[in-house]
Amino acid sequence: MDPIVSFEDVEVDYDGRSVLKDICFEVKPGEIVGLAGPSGSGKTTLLRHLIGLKRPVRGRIRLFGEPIASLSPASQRLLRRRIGVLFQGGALLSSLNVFGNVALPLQEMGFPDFWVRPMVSLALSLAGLSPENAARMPSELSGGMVTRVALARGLVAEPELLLLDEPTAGLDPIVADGFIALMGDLQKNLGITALMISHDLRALERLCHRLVLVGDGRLIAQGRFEDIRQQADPRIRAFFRLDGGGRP
Amino acid sequence: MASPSLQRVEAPGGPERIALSGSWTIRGLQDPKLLSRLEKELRLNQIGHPERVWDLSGATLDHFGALVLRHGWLSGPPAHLHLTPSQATLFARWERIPLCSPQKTTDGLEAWLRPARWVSRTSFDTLSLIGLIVFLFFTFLGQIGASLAKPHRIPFLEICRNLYQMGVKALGIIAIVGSLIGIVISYLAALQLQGFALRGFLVFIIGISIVRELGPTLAAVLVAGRSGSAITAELGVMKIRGEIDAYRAMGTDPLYRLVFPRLVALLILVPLLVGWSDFFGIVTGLGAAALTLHTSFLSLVQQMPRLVPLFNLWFGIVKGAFFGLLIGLVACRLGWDVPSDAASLGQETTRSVVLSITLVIALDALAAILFRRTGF
Repeated sequence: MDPIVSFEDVEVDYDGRSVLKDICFEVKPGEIVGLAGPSGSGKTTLLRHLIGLKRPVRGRIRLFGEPIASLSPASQRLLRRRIGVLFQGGALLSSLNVFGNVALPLQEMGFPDFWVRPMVSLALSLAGLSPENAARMPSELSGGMVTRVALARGLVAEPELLLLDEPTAGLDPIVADGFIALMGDLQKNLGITALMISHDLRALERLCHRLVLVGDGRLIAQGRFEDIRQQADPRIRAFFRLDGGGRP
Repeated sequence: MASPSLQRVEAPGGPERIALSGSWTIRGLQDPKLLSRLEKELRLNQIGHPERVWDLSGATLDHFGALVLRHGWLSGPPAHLHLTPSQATLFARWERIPLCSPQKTTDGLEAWLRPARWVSRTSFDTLSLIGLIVFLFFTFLGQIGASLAKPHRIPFLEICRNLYQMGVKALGIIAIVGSLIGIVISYLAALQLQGFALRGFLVFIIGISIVRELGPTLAAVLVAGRSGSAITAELGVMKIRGEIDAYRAMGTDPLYRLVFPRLVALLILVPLLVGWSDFFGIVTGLGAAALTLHTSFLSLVQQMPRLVPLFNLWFGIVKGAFFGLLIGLVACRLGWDVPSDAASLGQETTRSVVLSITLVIALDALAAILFRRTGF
């Protein structure tokens, strides 16, 4: 099966400063890949490159087999409609209520309200939210609910790839656990393909089929979570210990 | 991605089969014309043909595709339906989804009460805003008293920063607007008075209108638009980001650190800006009058103190102080009470400018009535 995402020897920069080099990894259909690394290691920058917001300095990033950086803006927009993104902190539009936020991707695709309402209802249900929440404003929601609404917005257009940027950041452990369980259910029931950026090792371990670890401006390791944890590389050991998520 | 389609397959001796193929997915069905045609075909093939076997196993289906099929089959799912297990899951999921409503649902009585509720809420909000502004004013007076008792605690640096941001940086625009207004008044009046030999009256009109009314009002309007909005936005962002709570947590009075310096700065700088605006308005007004009337600029300037009593200049400057304080109180109060979302921040900033300008003009009108016999 062709990979949905592939990074081929990619180098990316941030404000003209090279932050990651020689990045090579793939995300295949039906798998959840975790992207982890210390703060400031360039994980979110990689995500911005993946959705075509920036061009890599070197190498090629393919999304659904297409080299996204080389496409025209119109083609990039079409490609982006095939992905759902859960931004860090939810990034809900504060002027729209929950319904408006979740409906937005479908309205952008040109679907009339007749089809939008049931699809929003489905997305809210998949994200574990009751339909009564649809009329609430983002300012009335708790942190956990904001994340769920953001997930519903990411799911509503039936994306072939879901990108999750620190979905459990800022959530208390119980709410974060609830979110991880929800994502696990979605993976089991819908077979979603996802690339998840996170510091939360528990979330990565429970959800991801594979882990990609970056640091020191390079890709440090990739593979199954357990296999990476066994490696003797001091950077890997430091990452697992310092994060507090590693086993003694 | 193959286009979604359905085909009728004749089976000799058996029931007819409707085979679906292609991508019955949200992206495959995005074209409204295609969607509408397929819905029609679904209905035509189902109504009156309950014996037909519907085979979906050759189609790629997602939730949206299942929704379209459910909607297209007007009389419910066909009796003979061949689905893959994953397709059956999609249909089963739709059975359990309760429809949400984009708006809060209200009953009939609620709808009738809504206008009354809006009036009462708006009245209450307005009264409470006035109350809060008055409260802030008295708090400010108390802070001035406390500052005079302990002058070492006065946040001079913050006051100076605000004087620079709101005053020094506004000098250019106020000079330009003041000059333009002087020219406008001068030309309008000169045109009307030409041929009447009323040179002194022209000097009076330029002087009195600028120093008594237009100078203070224009300076206040510009400060409200430029600095009042900035104050509301700054305080609003600080509140949203929790900076005000951080001040409180450190045992510091955020009103004293954030509001007091801004109010003091506005109290000082608006009268100064009024004087600045008056200067440019009069100079350009008299300059334009000298050009129009073919007379000496200096002779017009010399007539000014005799025709326009000095009281008017001080009246305008003192009004400027009141305007500055009013703008500051409104801007700080609205910034302080911003609800924690981006949309409200924009709304409150706009409200701050509109309310400040309205109150400045109302106060100006009140002053004009109260002091109508003074200064002439």
